[in-house]
Amino acid sequence: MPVLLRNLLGFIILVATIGLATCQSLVKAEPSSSAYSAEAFTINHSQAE
Amino acid sequence: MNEFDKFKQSVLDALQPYSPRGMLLYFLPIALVPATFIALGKGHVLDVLVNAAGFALYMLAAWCLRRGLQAEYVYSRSRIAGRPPKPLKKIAAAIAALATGMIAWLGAGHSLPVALLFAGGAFLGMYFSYGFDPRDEKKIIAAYGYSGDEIRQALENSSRIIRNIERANERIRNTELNKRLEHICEVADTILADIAADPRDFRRARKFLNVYLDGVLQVTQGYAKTHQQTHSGELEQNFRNVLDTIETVFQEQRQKLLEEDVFDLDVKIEVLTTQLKREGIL
Repeated sequence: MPVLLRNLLGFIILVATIGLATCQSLVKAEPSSSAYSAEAFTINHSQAE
Repeated sequence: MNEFDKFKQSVLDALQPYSPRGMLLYFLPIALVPATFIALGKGHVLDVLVNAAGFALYMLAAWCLRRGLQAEYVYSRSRIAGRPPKPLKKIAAAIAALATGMIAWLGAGHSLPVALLFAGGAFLGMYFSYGFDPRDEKKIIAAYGYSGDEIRQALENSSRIIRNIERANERIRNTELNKRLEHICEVADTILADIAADPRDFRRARKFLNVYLDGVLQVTQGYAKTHQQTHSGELEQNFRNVLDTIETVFQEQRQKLLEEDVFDLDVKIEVLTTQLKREGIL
C-alpha cells in the first residue's frame, strides 16, 4: 500500500475512532439542547393530546 | 551533497523539533475537556474520572509519539545511531488504544465488545498514520580486529562528545568563536560518518576519537566556564590560537583518512597535543 494512502487511511481511522468516542462521551455528559427540546416537545405534545 | 541540499537539510534539521507530525493526538480528544467539566457540574464522579483520565492518557500518548518520531528522525539521519532504546511509538499506540477503549466503554456507554473495536481501530489508526519504531540495528562491519559493536560504541561515544562540545559552545558569547566551533563540530561529524561508511579507517582514527575530541571538549568547556568570570583578552587569544590549530588538524585528519596516510597524521596529532599542553589545556 502506498505510504500516502496508508497515512490517509490511518488519519481517517484515528479521527473516526478517537473523535467519535470522545464526542459521544461529551454528548452523554450533556445532551444537546436540540435533542433536549425535541424530547420536551414530544412529551408536551403527547400530554396535549 | 551540493550547497542547496545542505541548506535544505539544515532547514529540515532546525525545523524538526517543531514538526507538526504527531500533534493530531493533542487536539483530537479536546472534547473530553468540556465533558469533564460538565460531568463535574452535574456531580457525576465516575464520568469526571473517566474523562479526565482519558484526556491525560491521550496527552501521554501524544508526548510518547512525538518523542518516538524525533528518535526515528535521528535514527534515519545517522549512520551510527542504534535503534531507539524504547519503542515509544508502539507505547503511544497502546496508550491511545487503551484511552479510546476506556472512553468508549465507560464514557460513551458502549458495550465492552464495541469498546474493544474502538480500541483496535485507534491502534490500527496509529500504526497506519505513524508506523512503529525502527528495530533494525544499522550494521557496521568489523575491521582490523574490532567488532562492529566496538566500532559503533566508539563512534557513539565520539558523537556524544561532539554534542557536548556543541552544548558548551552555546554558553560562549562570541559569534566568531561560535561559528568556528560549529565548523569544527561539522568536520568532526563528517569524519565519524566517513569512519562509519568505511570502518577500515577506524584503526587510523583511534587517536582522533580517543584523545583529540576529548581535548577539544575540555578546551571548550574550560573556556565557556572561565570567560564568563573573567574577560581576559589573552585568554580569548589563546583559545582562538587553539581553535586555529584544531580546525587545521581536523581538516588534515579528514584529508589523511581519505589519503590513507597514517604516519603524517600521528605526527600532526603529537604537535597539537603539545600545543594543548603548552596552552595549559591538556
